[in-house]
Amino acid sequence: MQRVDRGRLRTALRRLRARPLDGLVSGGLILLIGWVIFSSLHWLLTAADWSVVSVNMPLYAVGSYPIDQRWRPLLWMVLLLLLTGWTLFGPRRGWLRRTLPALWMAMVPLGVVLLAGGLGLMPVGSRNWGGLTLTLLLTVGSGVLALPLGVLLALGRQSPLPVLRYSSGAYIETMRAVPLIAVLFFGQLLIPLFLPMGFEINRVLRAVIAFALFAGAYIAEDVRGGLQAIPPTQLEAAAVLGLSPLQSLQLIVLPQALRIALPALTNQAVGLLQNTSLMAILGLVELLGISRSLLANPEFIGRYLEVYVWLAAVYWLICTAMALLARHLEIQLDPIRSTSSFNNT
Amino acid sequence: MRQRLWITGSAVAIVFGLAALMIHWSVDLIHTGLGLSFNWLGQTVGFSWLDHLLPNRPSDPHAWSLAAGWINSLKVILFGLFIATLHTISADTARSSSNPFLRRLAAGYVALIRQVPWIQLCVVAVLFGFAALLINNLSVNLIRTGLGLSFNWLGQTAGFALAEHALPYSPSDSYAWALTVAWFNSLKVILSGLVLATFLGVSAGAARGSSNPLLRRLAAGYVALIRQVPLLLQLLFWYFVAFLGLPDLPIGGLIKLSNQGIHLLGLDLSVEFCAVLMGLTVFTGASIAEVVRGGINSVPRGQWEAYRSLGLSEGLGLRRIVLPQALPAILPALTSQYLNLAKNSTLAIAVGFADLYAVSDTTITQTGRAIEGFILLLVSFLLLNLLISGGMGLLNRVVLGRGARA
Amino acid sequence: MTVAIRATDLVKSYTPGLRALDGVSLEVSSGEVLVVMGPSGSGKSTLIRTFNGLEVLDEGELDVLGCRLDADHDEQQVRAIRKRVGMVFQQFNLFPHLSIVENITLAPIKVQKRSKQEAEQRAIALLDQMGIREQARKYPAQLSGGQQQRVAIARALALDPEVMLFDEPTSALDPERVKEVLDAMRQLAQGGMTMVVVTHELGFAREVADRVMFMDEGQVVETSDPQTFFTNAREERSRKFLNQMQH
Ligand SMILES: Nc1ncnc2c1ncn2[C@@H]1O[C@H](COP(=O)(O)OP(=O)(O)OP(=O)(O)O)[C@@H](O)[C@H]1O
Ligand SMILES: [Mg+2]
Repeated sequence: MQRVDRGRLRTALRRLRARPLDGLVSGGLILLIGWVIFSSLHWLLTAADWSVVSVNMPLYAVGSYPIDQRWRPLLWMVLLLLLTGWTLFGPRRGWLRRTLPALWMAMVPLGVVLLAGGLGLMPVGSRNWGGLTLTLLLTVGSGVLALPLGVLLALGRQSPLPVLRYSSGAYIETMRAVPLIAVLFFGQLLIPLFLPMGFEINRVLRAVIAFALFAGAYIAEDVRGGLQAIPPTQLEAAAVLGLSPLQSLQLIVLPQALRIALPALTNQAVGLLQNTSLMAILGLVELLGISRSLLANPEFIGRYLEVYVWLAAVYWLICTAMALLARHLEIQLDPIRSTSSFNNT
Repeated sequence: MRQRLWITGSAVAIVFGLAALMIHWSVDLIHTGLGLSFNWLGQTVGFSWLDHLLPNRPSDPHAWSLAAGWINSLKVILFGLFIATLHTISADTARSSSNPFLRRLAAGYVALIRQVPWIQLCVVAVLFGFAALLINNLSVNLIRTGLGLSFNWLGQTAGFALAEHALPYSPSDSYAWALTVAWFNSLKVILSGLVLATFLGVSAGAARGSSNPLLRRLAAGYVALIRQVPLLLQLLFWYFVAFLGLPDLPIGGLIKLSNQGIHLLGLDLSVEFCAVLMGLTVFTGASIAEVVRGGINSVPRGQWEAYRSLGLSEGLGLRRIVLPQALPAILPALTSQYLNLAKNSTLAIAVGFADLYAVSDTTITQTGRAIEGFILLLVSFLLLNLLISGGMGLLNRVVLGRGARA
Repeated sequence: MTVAIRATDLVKSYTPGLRALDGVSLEVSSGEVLVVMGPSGSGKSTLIRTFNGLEVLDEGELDVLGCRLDADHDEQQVRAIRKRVGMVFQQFNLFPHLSIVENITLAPIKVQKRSKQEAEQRAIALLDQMGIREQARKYPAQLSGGQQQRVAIARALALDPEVMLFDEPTSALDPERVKEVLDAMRQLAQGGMTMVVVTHELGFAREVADRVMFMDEGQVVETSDPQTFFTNAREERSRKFLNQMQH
């Protein structure tokens, strides 16, 4: 043990002598990191007061949802977690696997019904939805809407019909040119204007629609990348076997294209989750919004750093977990890599 | 052919029927709100269908109105099917008739039908129908609220102050001028953000391939942390914690830090501007670092060995040998990061920096001109995007041209 | 003997003024093996691809197994033909995301609506016939070129076609892999399959072909039995081509 250390030390010293600049850089970095660690520790031990986080845990989780009804958002989040686990570790083939997309889509109406009430549950207005639950509902809801929209737009952009090609192209380019906050803001203002008179939808749903309209354009470009990676001979081979255009799209083209686009789509999903925080500016009390209202409370005034560190940790955890899950899914969906790990065991 | 005629006719009938049904449905869902419940079925609808087989009055309950809607759709579908069948049978009989004229007429008709780009027509019809529905709703709503489209308000006095303006501005100036000033504020933060983020991103990207393990890990940690935390949160952090928490620090005579602003070599920067700039730089820098790393990885490893064997130092080799070769791969991705930075600069509203979006927001709230405001914002951003992608296109051409000549 | 394919004055051009097919007429009887040869760019692929509607004709008409194909490309006619005509490409064109068995059973299940079990049994039998039964559960990327091409043949055969089209099936293979594919094709010919084969394998043409057709610049130069073609070709162009091939 000691011998190894001494050997390492010696090589490090030799490198230092060979490249003095390197040593200088390392020294500077060590000083910098040391200073950061020291001041963080100092803050943690002397100044930090975490009561703003610990006292308000339920608010971060479910917002100002009525206390006796909190089991509803919590149940929904648990189901979401279970479904994620099922996607990752459940059976790899068979009809159970094939029901997964439907299950994911069902999570959205299920979440809405659980949160909004009706069907025997006590109605709860969207004003009271909040915290992590709302963040997740916005993400999953807009994701589930945006994916089919994006696929349709991507197909439209590749279509041999000029009308479809140009209108999809115009839509995608316009959406990609405007900032998200503008889309969300105008979504809140304009979506009601485009609906039939008297038809009203709540702010959460308006946000979900605006997010989906926005994300759809980005997803379309990712899917298009996947579509372009498929050689046209695949279509010929499908046609020669007598598959109809719709069948070859469903069985040959889309499975391959989506698999190729998966890493990019993961980035979009992570981006979507992060972007739901923008709704805090527009007055929804999702994870970031609830924190802003907490910070406005005189009891917790000035506790910015604690709240931001805590939020950063939560977002970081969820996003990193999403990225890891996606990588896992990528390997699982790759037939060769997943079967070879199968065969080895 | 018989099949085709029939399919076409029926498809059109069913599509129209379903469209009619959808309209019925959407109008009928008016008072439902969100949560599931069927109580509204018993309430009165307050309107009646113009076209109805069932007697239809505004005082009827929703359920009855819905049923009338169903019957209407059914009527359309049945009628369509009837026409389709009739049309198929007549065309078919005519084709096999003994009358040569009739036969030729039918054959010509069938050939004509085959020539028509049916799918395209249907798509156009559906798109137009959808757009018409939206526009119709819009105009109904605009008439109802008494707004109508107009840009006259641009000349009116804005009345609000801007904390920050590169051009002369006072609250008595017009909305148009306020928006212009805001546009330049945006440009200022975007351009300085571009420069700083590029600098940070390239350094971090290069550091990730450095031979110094400490530097490498630090850069990797920076990217992993920053990319997984929302930009808005970071902006709030820079504003509320970092810059508003600044102590008064007169460092020498040239640099002065305080929570009122930063005084740097004769340049006065507001805290808001600094927070936005810092947030955009650090956030975009992490993405650019990834882009740069990807570009560097695309250069064959042999190039490293080549410059090392020539005795060039690491830094020089990276700057003069590797990066120039990585540029063609880097530039397009860099452009999209720049565009992202420009779009993300609109989050400045969260810390109260008077950028284009923030001023548009205020303007719209004051005037109620949402659609016009959106159009103006869209045009401004198209302009900004054009500026950035045009500049990058130029750069790209210069770089590629040099590569081609070499 | 009944006629499987009858082509009359086929014309096809991709770029105006340049005819890839310039008045081609031919007949293929059922059970016959026709080998098509000719220099690169002479229109062999274009010809064979018109037989199952992959290319749309400009002029002329085709009768494939009693179905008519002409410039007026009727999608339903084309699909009816494709269900009865199999095709094998130079580049295999297997579906990389499906296993070998799934590649073969896809069309029988989705197009012919057979049961999964029945389709799989047939697939295994075909793989057996091709000598690659043990590869059934692997994926295309895990197979050698020769094995992939034999899967492609099995995939086409799974629909029980009455005619098989081959477009240079061995050109993308390593020399040592060519034989295994040619053997499979020979076996197929002996079973009485109607085949149109574009190939430069002289040995295969000599032994298996009933007739050899030589094309150049979009036209049929000559059609003879292999014996005549290889020893005593009528046309100067054919002789020149054969000379080049043998050296
Ligand atoms: N998709 C296409 N677009 C334009 N021109 C084409 C296309 N396919 C083929 N051609 C042209 O048509 C002519 C005939 O091509 P074809 O592929 O049928 O030749 P071939 O005899 O199969 O040649 P090879 O032995 O190289 O495969 C050539 O001049 C070719 O350039
Ligand atoms: Mg060819």
